[in-house]
Amino acid sequence: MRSVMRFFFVWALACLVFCAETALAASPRETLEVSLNQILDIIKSPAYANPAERDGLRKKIGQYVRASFDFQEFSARTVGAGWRNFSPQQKSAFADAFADLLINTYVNKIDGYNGEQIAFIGERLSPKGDRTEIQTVISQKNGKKIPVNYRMLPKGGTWKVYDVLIENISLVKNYRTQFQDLLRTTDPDQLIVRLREKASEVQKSDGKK
Amino acid sequence: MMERSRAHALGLLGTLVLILFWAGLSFAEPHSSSVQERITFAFVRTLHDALPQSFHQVKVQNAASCGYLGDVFFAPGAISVEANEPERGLAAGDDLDELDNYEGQDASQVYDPFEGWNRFWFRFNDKFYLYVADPIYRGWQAVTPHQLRTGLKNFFHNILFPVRFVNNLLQFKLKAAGVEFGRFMMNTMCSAGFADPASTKKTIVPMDSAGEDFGQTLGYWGIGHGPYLVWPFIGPSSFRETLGRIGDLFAEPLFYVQPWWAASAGSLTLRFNDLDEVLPLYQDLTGAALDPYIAMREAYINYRNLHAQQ
Repeated sequence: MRSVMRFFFVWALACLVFCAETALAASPRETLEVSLNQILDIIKSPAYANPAERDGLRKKIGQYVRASFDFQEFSARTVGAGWRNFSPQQKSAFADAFADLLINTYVNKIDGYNGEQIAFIGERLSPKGDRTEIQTVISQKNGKKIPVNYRMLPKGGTWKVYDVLIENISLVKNYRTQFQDLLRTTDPDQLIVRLREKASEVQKSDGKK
Repeated sequence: MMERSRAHALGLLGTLVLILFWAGLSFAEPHSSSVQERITFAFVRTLHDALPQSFHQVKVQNAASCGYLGDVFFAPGAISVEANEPERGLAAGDDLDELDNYEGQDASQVYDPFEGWNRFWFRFNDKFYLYVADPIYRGWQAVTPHQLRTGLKNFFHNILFPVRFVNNLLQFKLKAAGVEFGRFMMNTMCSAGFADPASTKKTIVPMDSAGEDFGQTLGYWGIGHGPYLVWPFIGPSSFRETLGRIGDLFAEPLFYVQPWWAASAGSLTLRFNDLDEVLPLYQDLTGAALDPYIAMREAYINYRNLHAQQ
């Protein structure tokens, strides 16, 4: 009988522990789902179809992206070992410029909603449980499915994205090689200038279309 | 005796508390499925931690449906813990132990001894895509209905069936070869390949979305890329992929069509018709890159490695 008691005791304890965990913060998947839905809602809104209003709404999307992505983590991973040689000012300048480039590239080319659906198909945890990959599939109207995975880590009481894998190709890794190649010949300040130039160039080319 | 009944009572009480607690969760918020999902998930997680492999995949399929009182029911088998085989974990082998070991990697693992030559043809191709291929494709889009373009795309994909079939067999993927065969039969019989009704059917094995080719077969056999190469007009490639491309020619029906110039013209038209799947992707990738050549090289090699693994 004792074993039965112990079993229930452990069970009750386990339940309490899990509940305490739920009370602390929303799960990474929930966090991601909320921000993706916020962004989708903007794109779906009729105002977004109006080019005059689009710029303001894109700024709003940019704010949501900045809130749910951690661009310092993005930058640290893309620059790699060289990140240690960046001063705190350079770090935040770099992260800002990189955020601008990514947002201008990926957000500002969304002209409108074309019936894309986002499905959450699974998630994986690192053995320690402090890194997670949320796996989603974007289904386009023409039946095409694009796997997009978000890697997240806990930061400031919530979960933040630190890498995006489109078709399983890591965004961070793609930039990593470029940045490391450039850092061999230029210093951090010059790299930041080039990033800023590229970000505004992307912004302008979008304005033309 | 006394002690035993007390234990019974305690056990019952404990169960009751837990049932009430569980039910309370369902009542508290009608849409609180996530809380229960989390408890279930936490349970799965303990299970998954207990397993010996370093990496597992927790899959929750068919998001839970709600029954009475907002209880969450998972269909049998909805939650599964799959241990990833070590060699098929993530994109590259370096990602196995953690999701997060970006440190300590070489800048690039791509062997690129002909960088000068490659960069020259990359610049040439870039101008060609931008000022020749893209405007011509826009013209093509203007004069053809999208039904025709999609039909031709399906037709081209369908006649390349032997390439995918043979390479599935060469990689011993018998079920996938069966799927390719079934798709080919279905599409050919219903529309001579101009429609793709088979694409909506569920397959018995997960299929490589890009289809198998000989470059992937060589990768599957353990042959590395060799030097990275950029060909004029064709774009990024490598020694292995070039060899693979030549090998695939022999499985292409158009290769055996006479006269050769008609076959080449047909092949060129069909390939040109597929450009809209590549050009926007190319522009996205290079437009956002500080060094488009490196961005393209890394993306191409990673993409091919990934498909060779699948």
